[in-house]
Amino acid sequence: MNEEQRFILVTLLPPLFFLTLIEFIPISYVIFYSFTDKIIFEEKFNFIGLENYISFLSSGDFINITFNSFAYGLIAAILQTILGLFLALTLYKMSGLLSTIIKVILFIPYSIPYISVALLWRFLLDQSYGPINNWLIFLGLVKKPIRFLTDTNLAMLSVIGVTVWMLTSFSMLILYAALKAVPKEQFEAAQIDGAEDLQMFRYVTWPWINRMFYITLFLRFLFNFGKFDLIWLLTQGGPLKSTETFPINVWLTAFAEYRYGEAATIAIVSLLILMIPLLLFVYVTRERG
Amino acid sequence: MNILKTLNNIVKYIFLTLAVFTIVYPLACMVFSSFAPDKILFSGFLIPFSTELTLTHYKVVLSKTLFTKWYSNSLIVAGLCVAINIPLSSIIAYTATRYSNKYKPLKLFGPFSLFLYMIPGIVLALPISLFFGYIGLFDNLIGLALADSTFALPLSLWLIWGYFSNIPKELEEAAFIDGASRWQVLIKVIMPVSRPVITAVGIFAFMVVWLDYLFALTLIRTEANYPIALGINWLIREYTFTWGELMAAATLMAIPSLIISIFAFKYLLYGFEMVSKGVR
Repeated sequence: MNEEQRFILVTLLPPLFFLTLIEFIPISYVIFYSFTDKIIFEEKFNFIGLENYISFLSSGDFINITFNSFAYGLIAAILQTILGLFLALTLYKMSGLLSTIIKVILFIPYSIPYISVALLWRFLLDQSYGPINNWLIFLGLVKKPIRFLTDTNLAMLSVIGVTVWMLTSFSMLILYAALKAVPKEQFEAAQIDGAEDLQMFRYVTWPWINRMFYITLFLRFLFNFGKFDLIWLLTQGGPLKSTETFPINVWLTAFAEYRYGEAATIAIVSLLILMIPLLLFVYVTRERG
Repeated sequence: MNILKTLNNIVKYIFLTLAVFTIVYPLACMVFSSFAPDKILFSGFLIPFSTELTLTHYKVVLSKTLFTKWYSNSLIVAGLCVAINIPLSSIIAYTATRYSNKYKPLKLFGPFSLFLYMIPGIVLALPISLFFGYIGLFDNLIGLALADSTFALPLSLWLIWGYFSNIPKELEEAAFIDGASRWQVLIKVIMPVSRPVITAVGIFAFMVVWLDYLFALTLIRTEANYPIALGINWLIREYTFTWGELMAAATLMAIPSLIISIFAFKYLLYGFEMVSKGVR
């Protein structure tokens, strides 16, 4: 073994060991237990083959959760990415202290812990003391306070709203970075030709950043689809399962109902569902790159 | 044409003002409520301003709970996570980018790290809670830092990988001619020029821990081991709370975030700029 091979071995083995510990072993655990009837706190369990899969996929829960996960994941992702693009485009042309201050302010929600964000919004949307209901009543828009988080029709919209409030700045950041990576000459040439803002966007900016735009949209979707914290802290999947997505259902099945085997099955199903857009995405981006 | 331009500018400023207001009003309500006496909170305020302010909520939070203990737990876990992530992601990314021409599979490291990043947290939290129980890392701050790394490491890898791919080979070659070894080049040449992206990765790892709720909830049981997020939850569960106290706790937890966001925007921006130069 020469020095080069030794270097590769020494640098890759510890990280690989680490990844095995925190990624590969856990994932094989989930796959393994998804074929069992394991209950938390009980040592004994049996292999039951595909039984968990069949009973989950044929349950009404499956349809409800899949619908909720896609509705939440997609709507929030689209809003975040489009708003993020608008913010990035607006801020990109500004310079100076004011724009820096605005950027930092817009970035604050993203760096606040989920629990703070959730508590803050539970307070803002509170039925009895929340400022938002106070305003709505003060302005005469509603007679009774709106039950933002406890109304089955509104809970999902409220959760999406809070997600957009908190995480749009991340899309803004990525798209802003994409805009900054566009060579300056591109804009200058177009400016000399007298292109207006809209034309400039259509023919100069968009072709340069569209890939990053779709990547952001896709990443946001995956992220929302698998995110547990915010929904859990706002509604715990309720009322009446109206905000129950895959992660929430996995958690409830495992740690509230103790049916670990079934929870593992649901986790695997959610991973498999994510695989479809993921593989499509990898395929599409490889073609173009 | 000029009218159009002015109109365009007006629309832009209205849009920005609205965006800033949407962010600032809720935050102002949070900070205000943490200082406002209960009678203002219970009478339903509209504008987060009053001359009557009090520190009672903070006193309750700091004296009736293990708040400082929880706070320092969170800082310890965040520190550990940063200390794990920076060296690990740097050495993998370095080897993966430098030898990818010779050993083709190393080319897959970038996409592979993105793939790991996409695995939902719950899919890992579920088995980790069981597996860490077997190896003695359950209800343990080191275990929590490792679990948080499942989320921090993949994106760190991806960011550093994107950056290292853009460092010209000539930079190292001069050092090799002087007889430096791979390790010396990595530590003395590559790491110093990569300081911005390494800072970005450090900030990101810190934020992952500071924001996290899921892993803390599944891995930590003992009150003395709570990170701050679980601590605040304890306030809701075990203590007859008022909004003022909860907002005080939420504000205390958001303070580091305010400091971070000043740096985070700059450095994360830099990191993503490097990645988007590669993706086009």
